[in-house]
Amino acid sequence: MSHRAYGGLLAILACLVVVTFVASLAVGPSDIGLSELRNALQNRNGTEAVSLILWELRLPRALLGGLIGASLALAGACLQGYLRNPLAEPGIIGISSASALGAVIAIYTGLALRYPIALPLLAIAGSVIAVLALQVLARAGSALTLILAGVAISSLCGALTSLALSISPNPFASLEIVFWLLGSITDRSMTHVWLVTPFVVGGWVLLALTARPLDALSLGTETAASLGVDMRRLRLLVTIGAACCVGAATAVSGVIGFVGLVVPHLLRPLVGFQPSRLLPASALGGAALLLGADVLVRLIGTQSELRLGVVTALVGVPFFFYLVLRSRPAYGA
Amino acid sequence: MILTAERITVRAQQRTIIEDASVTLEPGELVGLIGPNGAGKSTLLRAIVGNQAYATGEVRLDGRAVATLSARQRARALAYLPQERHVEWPLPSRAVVALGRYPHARGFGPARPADRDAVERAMVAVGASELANRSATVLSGGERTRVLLARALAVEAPLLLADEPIAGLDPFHQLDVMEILRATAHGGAGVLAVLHDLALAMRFMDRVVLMHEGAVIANGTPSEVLTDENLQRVYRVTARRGSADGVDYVLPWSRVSYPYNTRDD
Repeated sequence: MSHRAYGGLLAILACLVVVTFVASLAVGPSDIGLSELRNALQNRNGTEAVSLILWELRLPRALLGGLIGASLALAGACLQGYLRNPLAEPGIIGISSASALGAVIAIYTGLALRYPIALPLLAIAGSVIAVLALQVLARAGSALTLILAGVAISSLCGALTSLALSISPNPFASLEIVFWLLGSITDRSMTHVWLVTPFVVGGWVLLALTARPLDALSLGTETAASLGVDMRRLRLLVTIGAACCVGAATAVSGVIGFVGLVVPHLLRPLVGFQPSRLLPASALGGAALLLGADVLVRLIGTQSELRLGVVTALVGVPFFFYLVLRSRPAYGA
Repeated sequence: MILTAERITVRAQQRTIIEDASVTLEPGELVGLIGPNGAGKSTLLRAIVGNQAYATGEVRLDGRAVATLSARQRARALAYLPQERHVEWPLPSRAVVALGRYPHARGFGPARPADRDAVERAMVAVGASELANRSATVLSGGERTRVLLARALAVEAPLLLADEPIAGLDPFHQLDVMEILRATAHGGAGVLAVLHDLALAMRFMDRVVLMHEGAVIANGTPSEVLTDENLQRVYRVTARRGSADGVDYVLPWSRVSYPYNTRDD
């Protein structure tokens, strides 16, 4: 595809991000008109309800939706390119479950109740430990060793999470753990935004550096290495970059599945299947999708708000089935 | 640019894969690296391009050790076509060929005119221009080999190493690829190709290097190396010979019975 067509696609995706971001600011239990929104946005320290709702509730929520959606989809696109497998997603290297385990420990021990900030901090610590374990386990290995190590970490963290759930003496803590695992960005504050932004942006930078090497990797590791790609460096960039942004994302939102799998898959044919071009497109598409899903969550009126992770999976799975059935010939036997 | 690989030894899991293997490659020559399966041909090629660690020995480009070159400098000097012919995503063929410009380009943005020209030249050289917009995953074996060969040619490196470039191709495409390799060598590049087809090695190669059980045991013109004695000892076959159009050819004819094969009744 031409450079111009690709630019057009990125522009459309960027517009979608802007539209869903504004919608995320505008939609909520209390009716706020667009003109009121504009006034409140210009007035950071206003005391009226509109200003408080916007700055304390909706803006952090919208910012987190964009940051997290972009992180999940970007990490998914990188991992699919690196592992050369369209079924790869951020969960496959065990980062999400390790991060979730850190958060579960914070809830289980009651730390999260006393110091709310302990939850994202422990979650980030979980993903850091996981990525270190990953480097040790898959030190000299291939992509396959990395997947095996990831699956092992993922299973271990899943088992420990279940253990915390089953031995928790406090039913409220159990309930909170379950809800947290379902994924949500409701009631997050600007503190959360400040906490995750450095990790997320750092992760994006590392993942952006993998763009051209991932292109070369389309022809296999032998060809890529002969073209001057440092495979060791590439693996470090992909795993640490994905761990930074997905770990931080999971730390504030819980586990949100499917965005990292579906978005790159959906956009790949539109960028001419080129891994490097898929990265920016996926980041924008992921932000738009998560922001959109988060608006949907608020529009579907149920007694207690639907969980974001549930909605992304409910919307994502049927759509994914459709894609799998339709695109089977493209990937061949 | 002159390539010298000197006394390369590769060991893996306490087994010696190649031992003291030396090979040289000069501009303008087409050299065949031949030998039976498991002789260490691919390993030697991989050691030269830097994809295989070696215990002892040294690879030099114009006298300079490759270890002192950056990955980028080495990639610009040595183009490599591995045996692996898999293209992961349904990329258009032109995008596949353009990956050959990887060691030359930096950053993003539209391809530079010099890179675009090199890609076009490479596609013309292998006759793949009409495949440019077709997806590389739906090409036939012959078409895909041509496109991947164009990818290697697009590097425009002074040296080209090809691992079994004609494996799995029909006779038409085998001759086609051999002619492309010869044209590349005549264009001034040094070309080293691993080959199993002795008839084509005899006909097309300026020089052949014969490997057996991890060692280089003969090096010279095809008729010096592909003697009846060498064929019996290394390949365990006898051959029929002839000549056509003033060129000698050799045709593997029958197996030499194994020393331990007593079922001869």
